[in-house]
Amino acid sequence: MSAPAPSPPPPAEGLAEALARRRLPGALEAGWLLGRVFFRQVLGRRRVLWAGLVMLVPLGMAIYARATGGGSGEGFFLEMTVNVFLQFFSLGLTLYLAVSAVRDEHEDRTIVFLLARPVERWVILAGKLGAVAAVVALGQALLACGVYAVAFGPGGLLAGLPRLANVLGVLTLAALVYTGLFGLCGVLFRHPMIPALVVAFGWEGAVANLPGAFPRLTAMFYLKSLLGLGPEAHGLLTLLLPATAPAAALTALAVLGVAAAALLGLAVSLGARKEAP
Amino acid sequence: MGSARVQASGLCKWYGPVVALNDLGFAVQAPVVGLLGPNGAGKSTLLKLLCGQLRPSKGEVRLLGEAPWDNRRLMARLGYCPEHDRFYEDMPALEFVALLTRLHGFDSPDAARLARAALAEVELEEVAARPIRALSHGMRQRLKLAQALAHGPEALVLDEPLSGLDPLQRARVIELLRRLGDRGVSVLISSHVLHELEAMTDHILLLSRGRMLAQGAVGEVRALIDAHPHRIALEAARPRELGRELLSFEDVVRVELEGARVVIETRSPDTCYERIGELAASGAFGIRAMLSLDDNMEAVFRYLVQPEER
Repeated sequence: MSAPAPSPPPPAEGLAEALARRRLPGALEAGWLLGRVFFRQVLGRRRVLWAGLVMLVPLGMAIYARATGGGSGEGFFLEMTVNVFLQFFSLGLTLYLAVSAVRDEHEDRTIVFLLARPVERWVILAGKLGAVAAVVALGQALLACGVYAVAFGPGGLLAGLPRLANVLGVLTLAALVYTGLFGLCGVLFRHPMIPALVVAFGWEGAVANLPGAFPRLTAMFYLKSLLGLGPEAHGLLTLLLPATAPAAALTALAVLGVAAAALLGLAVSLGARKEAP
Repeated sequence: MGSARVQASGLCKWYGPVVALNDLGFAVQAPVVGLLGPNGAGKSTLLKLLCGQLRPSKGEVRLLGEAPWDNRRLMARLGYCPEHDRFYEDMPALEFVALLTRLHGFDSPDAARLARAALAEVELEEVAARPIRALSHGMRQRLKLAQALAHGPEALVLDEPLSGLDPLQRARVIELLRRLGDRGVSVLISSHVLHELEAMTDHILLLSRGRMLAQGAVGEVRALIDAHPHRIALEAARPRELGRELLSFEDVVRVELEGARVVIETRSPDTCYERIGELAASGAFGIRAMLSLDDNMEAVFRYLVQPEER
């Protein structure tokens, strides 16, 4: 029992050279690998393929509106950005993917294969959440470019570029903030889908459009502020409380940046403490 | 704590009000160690603690001299084969093993080569390109072994790796694990079947209800098991008469009647089986069926953990 531990075993054929070349993966490399695995798993699912088809609907709407004279130009592009991208895809798609990133492998127990690798625990969740944010941002950016081309093209493409850059920036920030928010829901709740839905469509969807100072408590308010838009307050409350003006661009950027960093950091650090199922 | 390969002291693990492991202490230096216990004994919990999948609620656990929780350096030296049968189902077997090997720091070509070698080691090279969902239970079991072996670990922690394998595959896996042990790889393997462990190691840890019941040479545990009264159930046309006859046997210590069934308890199962065979052949009591109630480890554990009832 008290004899010294033996030296490592003689490696099998071919293993010795590989072991000599081996270099433990850094956080970025491991995160990249894990992100790829996550998306391979998630994107293969039929419901996600359907979601991909649903994402083409805005493009169809834009083409239809343009063809029938129902809408074009900057106003139409902004309307699509807020009502379709921000309030539907940014919330719905990120919710589904971020919650899946946290919960699925725990529920399927495949996480044990990853936890037995020389990868720091926080990197596992960070890699997956990074992949969620990247795919949501890229997916929406591609779609936004398509809608932009239809809404502005072909004559106004150059003139509309600043607005396109503005929208792409907002969609990227939305992907980061909401990935953190829904990732945190996944870490905090055993059954996170319902609380995440309440946060997405109750808090972010409804409170962001109340009059008074309430919208300042939502990320959606600051995202819309970056587009130069304020809350769309309606109803009786507007008689009692004045609508809030959009936040200044710098304030909105700072709030969203801090929120994204805090939410992602919290989700990842709490997730790293979770034990295997 | 000393320099044992696997050790624990005052180790406790509880899930809410449920105590999974209670004040476990041991230190083992043997290369291959068997972890024996019935379902619910805490074997998987102990193995998960050793692999850093769980954190101890109290006490300490060490593998190769290191605390496992969030220990990247130890994970690089470890191969873990979990008990459950869950995978990335759509992924081909080779890609699955190669991906997990890449996470050990090998570049893509090396990882693919090592993954192929590991699959060959467990005789899965022919199905390497198949998606995991298309593999049989036995193949999936061996795939778990392959992912644990591919990166050439110094320690292997295997949770019921033989379950679901046919006898030939079992023999091959046992041989493989013995070879690894001979090469100096520390192998910790759990099972609830003593003879499986016996074929691989002489050193076992006996766990029951989260406590260490015994540890040491297999022979000592085997002696405990042989001393354990063996229960045999018989179905007969005339159970009452059969019971009376069996009670006259010297080595039968107890007889119970359960309808058409007679349950006896004996300290000499071999002699008893022989005599029951003679009775059955004579046709005197209409014996229709015979069943050993103690062919599983749980019966032995029940016996071992309840000395006060004996």
